[in-house]
Amino acid sequence: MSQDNQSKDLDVFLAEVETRAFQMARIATQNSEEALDIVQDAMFKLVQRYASKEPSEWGPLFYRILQHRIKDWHRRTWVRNRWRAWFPRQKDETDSDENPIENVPDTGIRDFADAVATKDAASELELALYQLPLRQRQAFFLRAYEGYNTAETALAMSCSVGSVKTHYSRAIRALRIKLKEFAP
Amino acid sequence: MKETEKDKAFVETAKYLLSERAEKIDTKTRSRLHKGRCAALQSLKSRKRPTPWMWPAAGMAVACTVILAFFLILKEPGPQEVLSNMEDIELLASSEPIEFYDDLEFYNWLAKHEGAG
Repeated sequence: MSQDNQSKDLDVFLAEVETRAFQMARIATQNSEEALDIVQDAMFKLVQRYASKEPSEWGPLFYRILQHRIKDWHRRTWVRNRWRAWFPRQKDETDSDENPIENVPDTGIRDFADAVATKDAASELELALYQLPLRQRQAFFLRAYEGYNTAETALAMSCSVGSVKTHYSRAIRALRIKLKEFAP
Repeated sequence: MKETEKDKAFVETAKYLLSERAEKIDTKTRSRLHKGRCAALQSLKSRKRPTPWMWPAAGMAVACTVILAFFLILKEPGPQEVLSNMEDIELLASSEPIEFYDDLEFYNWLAKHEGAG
């Protein structure tokens, strides 16, 4: 495959998955900025490492990278929170009374808490997905939303087909219990 | 409705809700995703690929390494090495206590001096 064709195919592939990948990362992190960084990072890694692979392999590989990035983010956040708990930041001269959240640029994306407050089905579903264990959430996204079969999902999640089946069925059971009022 | 059918219906509903939510992602975020994608693809174009003249040089380097490794592995042991190996065998097969061999240099020296004296 020539480099131009490869670049075009990759562009089409990434354009097709980027919004869903962003959704996955946003639900996992509850933060749009972090989600954008994670998705961009995953796109870079796919292009740099796996561009030469068969296009049919890009999907599971991309989601594999994305899931690793999300896991890394959780790990870093956990360590940062522990660190802050042990060594609370001292108030210094540079601190002001301004609320830092007010200074964050408005990205136009609805805040997760606001979304939940509206009590619509989609928000409830996002909240329920966020509350799922990481592996169950991954299995649900890849099998249900992305439409991957168990083998592709196993490749993306770096686990066995049997584990995928277990995580997926547990995810559906948990979501159906949480979303009783919306579930059939 | 059976459980599997209920599961299927639930999955379809969830997929529809998530797709609907994806469509509502604002233009600013879409634009940033687009920029991220372009930057990633740009890295593919700027990635250095080995130029054709590098292939013979790389081949030569590999060949030299293989030849060197071949000679190092198959090198015949020199006379000193053979002698040293024989001494080791003698040492292991001997019935003398090991302390005797520790002081062997001293006994050699003593024998020379007694012979001279």
